[in-house]
Amino acid sequence: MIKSIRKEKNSIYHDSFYRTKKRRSPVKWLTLLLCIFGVTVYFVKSAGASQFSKSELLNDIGTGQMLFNKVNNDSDHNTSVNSSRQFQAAVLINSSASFEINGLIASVTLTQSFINQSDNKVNGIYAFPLPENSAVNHLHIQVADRIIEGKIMEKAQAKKIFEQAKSSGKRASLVQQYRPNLFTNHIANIAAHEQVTVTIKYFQHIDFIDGKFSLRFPMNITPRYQPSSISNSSQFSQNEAQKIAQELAKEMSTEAAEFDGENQRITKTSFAENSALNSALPSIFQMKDLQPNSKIHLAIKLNAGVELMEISSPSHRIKVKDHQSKLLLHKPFSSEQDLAIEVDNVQVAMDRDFILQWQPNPSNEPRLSVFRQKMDGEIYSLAMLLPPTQLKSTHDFPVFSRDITFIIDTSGSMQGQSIKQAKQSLIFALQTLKEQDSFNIIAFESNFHQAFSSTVMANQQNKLTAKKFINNLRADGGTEMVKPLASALVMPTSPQQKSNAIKQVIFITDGAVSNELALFKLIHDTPHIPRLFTVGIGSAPNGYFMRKAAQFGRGSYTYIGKVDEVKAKMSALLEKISRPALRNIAVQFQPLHLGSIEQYPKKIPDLYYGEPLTIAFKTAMMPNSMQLFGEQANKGWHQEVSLSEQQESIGITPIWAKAKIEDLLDGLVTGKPPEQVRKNVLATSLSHQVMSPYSSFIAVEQEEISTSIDNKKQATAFPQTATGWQLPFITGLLLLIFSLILQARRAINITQKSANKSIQLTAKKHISSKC
Amino acid sequence: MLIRIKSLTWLAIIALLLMANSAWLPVKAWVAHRLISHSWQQTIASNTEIKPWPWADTNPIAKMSIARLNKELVLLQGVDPTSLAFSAGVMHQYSNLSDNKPFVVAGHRDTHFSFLQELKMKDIISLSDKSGINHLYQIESMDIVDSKDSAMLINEQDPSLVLITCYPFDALQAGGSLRYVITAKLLPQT
Repeated sequence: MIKSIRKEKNSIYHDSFYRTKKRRSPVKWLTLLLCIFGVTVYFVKSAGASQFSKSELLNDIGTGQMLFNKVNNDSDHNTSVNSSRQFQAAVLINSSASFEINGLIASVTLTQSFINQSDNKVNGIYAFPLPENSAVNHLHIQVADRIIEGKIMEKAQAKKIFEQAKSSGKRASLVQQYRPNLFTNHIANIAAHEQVTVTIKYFQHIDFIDGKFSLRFPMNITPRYQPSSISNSSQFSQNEAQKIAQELAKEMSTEAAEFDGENQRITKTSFAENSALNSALPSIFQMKDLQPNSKIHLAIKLNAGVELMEISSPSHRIKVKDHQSKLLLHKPFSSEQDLAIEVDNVQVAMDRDFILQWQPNPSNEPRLSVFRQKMDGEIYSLAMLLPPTQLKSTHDFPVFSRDITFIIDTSGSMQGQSIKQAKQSLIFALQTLKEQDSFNIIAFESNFHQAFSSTVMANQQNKLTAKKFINNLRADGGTEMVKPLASALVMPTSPQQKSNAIKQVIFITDGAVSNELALFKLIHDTPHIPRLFTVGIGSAPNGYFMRKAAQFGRGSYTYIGKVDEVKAKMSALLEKISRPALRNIAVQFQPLHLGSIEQYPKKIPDLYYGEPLTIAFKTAMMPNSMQLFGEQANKGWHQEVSLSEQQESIGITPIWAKAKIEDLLDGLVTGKPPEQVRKNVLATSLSHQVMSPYSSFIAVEQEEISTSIDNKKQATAFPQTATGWQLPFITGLLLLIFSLILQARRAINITQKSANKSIQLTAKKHISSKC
Repeated sequence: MLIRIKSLTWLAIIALLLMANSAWLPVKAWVAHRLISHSWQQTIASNTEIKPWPWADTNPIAKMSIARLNKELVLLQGVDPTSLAFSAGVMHQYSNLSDNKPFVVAGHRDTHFSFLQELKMKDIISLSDKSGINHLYQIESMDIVDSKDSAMLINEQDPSLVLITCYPFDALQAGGSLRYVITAKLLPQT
């Protein structure tokens, strides 16, 4: 009896196991799927992101272009978005650009004429993609007999003029540099068939990469819109064209809104409306058809300052002539005279960017060249120091030994990715140190710890000790930067190190400091300061602090945004600073008594390979010559250049003024009274027409004066602003619910089974009793 | 049978741990903000910088209040992940209320800055600094920006208040590229 029941029991469980298993399998699958889904969502982030970025878009405005849209007189501003549907690319009838290149600076004058072919009155936007490192300092627009002149004015005055124009209800012409690299200017009320001539002047720093100078001028009308090459490219370009239209329409609506105080600026809703701007697409898309053969006249005057081995253009055919327009064929090109460069047959089609490259004759020595300009009876000169360009191999060249102190920030704000990056950078830097170098490491939060009491030679054993020290670092606590920095600045050198070793400090931090001023003062006031290089870590380091600190410490600032950039950026920095070509540079003019000499930067930084150096001077009298002294690794160096024989250049004064303003502004951090700094900066800014924080670039229309405050915008990275706690929480909640459901089901099953069992048992009992 | 019970229990335990782990963030945010509010009041009373807890790497620098929503929030210095875990933070470069520069605040959309979605155009935001001076701002624009497309462009000479958080507010996971940017202009002091 008992045996038989046991058998029965087993079989019941057996059955129910298979039954429930079968039944439960979809639930299990669902759980599994849910888990997989959760994990996938967790890891695959925003895979369906838009393919085109705005910056790409803005680059697509490949040259100076004018866009018109019809003026709707009876419309209120809410329809500004609608009216921008009639966007039309203006017909470019004439362009010319002239370049005057002096060493590392190019002054560019660009004149472009457009015509309003429509029968309507239009508003226009003139847009020009500025090259990097450039600034517009002149604007002149002629519309029929109206003249609009751009001027740099004191901010308060500019604001007053702007308010005046606004209160008298006049339409305005806006000068804006609303993105760092796109210059735009709005011109209102252009009558039918009227011609608009825009002239802008800007100065630009010349790139020097791999021993070659290069200048790029954007003159590419709608580069990506040619529906050729790849089959689906036309679809891409349509997308992009549409985006440009939206971009500009948004601009227009902002402009309209600025004139209407009651109107909201760009709100959420206007975003939605903008996406309905499809009809703007064709007109932009046809830009190329409208301007089948736009041509530009290019003229270049090149004063490289050094003997040139080659002048070439990868983009266009060029002819090099001397100043008497004789064709020059022989190389090298002498540095004595200006060269005139012509492109093709003077007029070139605007279908691709113009690139000009020139390469100096290779040399093992640093070279000095000087440019000068006379203005208001004073002499402005610019010294360009070119590092040696001919190096057979890096080992051939004598190298300074170095005495480096690393400072690493381990405060709480460095937690997470930042400390990881910082440690990796540090370990990487250690690996690159050679036997003749010496080093020390300081880690700090509220307190600070040194790996060694003085710097030690970079031998295997010391490196190992240092590595252990680094690995033990944890990010926690406050930020107390003054003490570690001060001790790094006076770090005793290892007794084994040579006396002429370069002292350098590499400061790795996110720059989250509140006492910037104290630190600047410390760096500024320390005599014989080691060269200070700052390395910014994390998503939003305090770039201002680090750039300035490096500048005061005559070093440079490197920003590392991502972990995978650590190696590349650190090795570039270490490679660079391991080999200064010339250090302790000093200047002397002949004759010695020239009256006041204003020199910027006041402290001349060291010269590094691949990075030419410029120093700007103002003297009351014409010096006969300029002498530069410096130290190479194994010997002294000096060079003298005659100034009085140099011919006059243009575009030197704004460079000097810019350098001076920079220096004056530094006075703010070293404790000069702000009011005095402001006064001095403004005086320089206005007399030289160079932008400063206290001045605005405004367009003044004669008769009808209308202006806008220049919005100098600063690009900053967005911080990460979500914790994302909900997803794991909800996943957890769902899992919990599922497990509870399963538990419940099991419980029900068991009760059912036991119920079944008892029924069966009773049934059996019943049967057996019957038997 | 035993194994099955075990697996189910494990599932429940994992689920609970997951919940606890993720709930830790908002709980920490809430608790920390209590402490920060306390240290803020002390800061005002004593007129010295007082850290919310002794090992904190940040300190409260201003209090933001929105009367319409009956909302008050003490802002911390810095937008590093550590500071943002405790309250909304102010960018170092733009953290001075007195110098005519923008004041840029960032916060987590799912903790301290979740109320940003309730803000409307023309809302008045009040900021009071350490010396107790109130600055009033009125919202004049609300933008959704893709941080992948462009860096944040801040008009350096405009003393406005910029509030930044992630967008959309109800997204389940962190790390999206959209940002909700509210700009409020400084109202002239009366």
